Amino acid sequence: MTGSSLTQVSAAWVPLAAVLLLAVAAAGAAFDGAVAARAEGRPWQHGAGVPVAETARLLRQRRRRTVAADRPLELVGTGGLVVVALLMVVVVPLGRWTLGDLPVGIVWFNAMDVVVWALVWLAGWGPNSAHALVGGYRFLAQALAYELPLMFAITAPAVAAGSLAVGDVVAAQEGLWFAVWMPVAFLVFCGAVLAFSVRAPFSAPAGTDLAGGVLADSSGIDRWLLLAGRWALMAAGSAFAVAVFLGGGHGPLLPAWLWSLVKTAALLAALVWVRRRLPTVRPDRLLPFGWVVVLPLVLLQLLVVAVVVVGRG
Amino acid sequence: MGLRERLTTAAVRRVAVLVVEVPGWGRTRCAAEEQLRRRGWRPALTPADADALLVCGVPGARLAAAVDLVWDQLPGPRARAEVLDPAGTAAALDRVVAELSDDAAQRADAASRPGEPAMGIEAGADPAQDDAEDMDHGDDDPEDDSEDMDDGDMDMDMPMPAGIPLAGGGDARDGLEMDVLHVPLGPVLPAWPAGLVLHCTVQGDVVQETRAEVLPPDPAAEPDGDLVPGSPADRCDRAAGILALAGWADAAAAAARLRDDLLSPGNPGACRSALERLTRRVRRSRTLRWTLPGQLHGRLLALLDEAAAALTGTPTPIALLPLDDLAPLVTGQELGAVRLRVAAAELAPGTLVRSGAGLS
Amino acid sequence: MVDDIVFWGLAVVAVASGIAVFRVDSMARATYALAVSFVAVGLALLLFGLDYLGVVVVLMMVMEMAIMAIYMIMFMGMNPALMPMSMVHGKRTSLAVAGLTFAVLAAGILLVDWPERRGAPAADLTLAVGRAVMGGKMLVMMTVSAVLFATIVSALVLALPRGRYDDDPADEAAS
Repeated sequence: MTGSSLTQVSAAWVPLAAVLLLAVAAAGAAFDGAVAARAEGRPWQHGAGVPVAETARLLRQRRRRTVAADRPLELVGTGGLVVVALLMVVVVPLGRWTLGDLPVGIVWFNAMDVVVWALVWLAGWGPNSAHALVGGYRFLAQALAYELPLMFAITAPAVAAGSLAVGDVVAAQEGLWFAVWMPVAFLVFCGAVLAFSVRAPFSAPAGTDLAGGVLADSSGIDRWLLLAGRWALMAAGSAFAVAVFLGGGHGPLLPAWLWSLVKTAALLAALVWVRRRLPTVRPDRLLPFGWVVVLPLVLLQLLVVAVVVVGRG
Repeated sequence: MGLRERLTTAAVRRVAVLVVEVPGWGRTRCAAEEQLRRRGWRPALTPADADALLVCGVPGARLAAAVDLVWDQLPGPRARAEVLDPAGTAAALDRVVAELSDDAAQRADAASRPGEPAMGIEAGADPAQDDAEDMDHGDDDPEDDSEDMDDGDMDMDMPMPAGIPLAGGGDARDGLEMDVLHVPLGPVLPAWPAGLVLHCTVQGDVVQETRAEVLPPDPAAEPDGDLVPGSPADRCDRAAGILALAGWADAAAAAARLRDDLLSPGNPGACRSALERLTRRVRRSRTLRWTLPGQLHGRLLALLDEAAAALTGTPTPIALLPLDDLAPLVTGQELGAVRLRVAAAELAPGTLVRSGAGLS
Repeated sequence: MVDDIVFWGLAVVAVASGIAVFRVDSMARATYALAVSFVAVGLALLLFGLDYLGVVVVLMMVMEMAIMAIYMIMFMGMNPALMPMSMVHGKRTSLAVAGLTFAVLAAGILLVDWPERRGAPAADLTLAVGRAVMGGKMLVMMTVSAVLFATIVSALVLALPRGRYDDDPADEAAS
């Protein structure tokens, strides 16, 4: 049941993949902390330790529960984000190795990012608290704005490669990255990665104006899982973007797996930089923008790609 | 060093502090925020997020009750400190670290607390204690909280899951019927005027009715002082609040740094160029202009321009907003927009309480 | 062997969470129990080699349930979040209908003379499914879906005099 030329490694490698994902996520968080420290006028080295300090703090913190919380649903919502990020990277190749060489890897990734809808809403619903619940609903409103553009954005590489398998999409980019000739799809996808990891400009569900929104009432390990889940989603999204838009492991000199990692780290850093540069956009502003501007643009991009593919015969 | 000590050391490297400003202690709050930034700590957004509670000033009875309720909501390990003047903040924060690092005391504290969360005091039930819920999100669910208080008589047979009365229905602005509930905003919220409580009636995320009041400090205590309304530091403080609520942490940090530089005797030339840089950044941000509701982007730029004018010696006269004029500003707005408009309003709780206008 | 274990595991999850839909006492839980049931069915489809259909079932059902939870909670007037409420009504009729449907389907499985397999499955099942469903009408189907979609959106726009947030003329001017 393989879809492409990649080598499917055994399931014993899953723990290593998890460690790698969390390491990339932690690196992203450290870079974010460093940039924030610079903005506060402190040396960047002080900020780079943020993930470690925050992890220690939250491991030591007790869980606080709220009155009449829906505990089972809350647990699903908080614990699920990390799991979904892991399930996303199952179809992302590291060089020429992949955990699951699904013939429909792209649809799989899409299905996993839709699961985030449910999880963020559940994390907001669970604590039985006004701010968290409004945060959860904000995420769903925002999801309606970004999900369709995201779907069409990842359809473009699939059309160009003539396959839904991530391995085939990577193979089709030998020589020319898809990001080069489908830049709109690439940018829209990058925006969607920020959106499903709830980062500015799409951070309204966890906004300061809602006292943290879906995060408002979580503490201890619950909060760690939510924060780590968001970073892991951002890392997984970057890794997937590298595979389908930035040529995956293709590159000179370095081995393919290293190219995958380097590109993922670079894209993640770029996304962190964007997030720190932009304020949060309100969901009611995003919806008309997503539907009236981005959706037609990405559909046009898809049309261009389709015409090119037909033209090449 | 054992694993536990190592964890403790790492955990207190970046303490999240929930700062409570009592009306009249604005300068102390600014000093506390500066200390947090210098140490690489961060202000907490909610009690659940906080390791420590720092009370700037001496609260009156009602505000003290609200602070106590917030204190009960800190997950723990937790520490609490009071500070009365800017000079005392560093020592207070040192005490916080010592308290947080004391594993034995923290474990004793944890053991002495009830395991199950307790209900807060019902919002709007009794004017003498109705403020106490502040950020007690645990009790505020749009679906479940607070019966519509306008009815007056609550049916006692109505089922009350976990002691929470059912929400009443009401016509919402888009023509649908939606549950009505009462959520008090404040007095302990980040980027929020000191002691302000906004009793909101909300449907979903839209605030339909509000009543504002300011919880006074202890009448016996002598306030340390607020930022002078209209002064450059005050303008930058407001701008920092708006930027923080708009989710632009780095620009907010720049504004807060500028405020602290302006408060300390230093180099006015450097402040002026930093202010220019910040103004340019805010003016250029199309995203910010796009997302801020109403004329808030213009207001934000005006704040920075007023700061520049005040720096060169021609301060703009400030007309403070009477408390009664706050409600019309925010009624009918979404929760996030309410927060932004309150942050932009020219409220000076310290002045209000002194003139007696804050006590409704 | 592994396939058997996975299949039976998924089948048990699907049925158990399907039962949970009627046993739990809150709208949110009922909705997401249904989502779990559908996800289990979608994953079971993967065992048939129907990757595309299986993954799409997961995608569509989770998305649908996330949105449906909003409507369920919105339309269940009585305090749907915490108030324990029964998820069943019209018990007798439903029981009769459900029993009858089950009987008919089960009888169908057992009594229909299933044809023998002729030929081998297509190399690319996703492509084969697309061809089988849409055949030569691909262009028509794609046009129709876009038109239907546009119709829904414009009907909504016409039906709503104004949105939930846009009443502030200053707001509009600024945007």
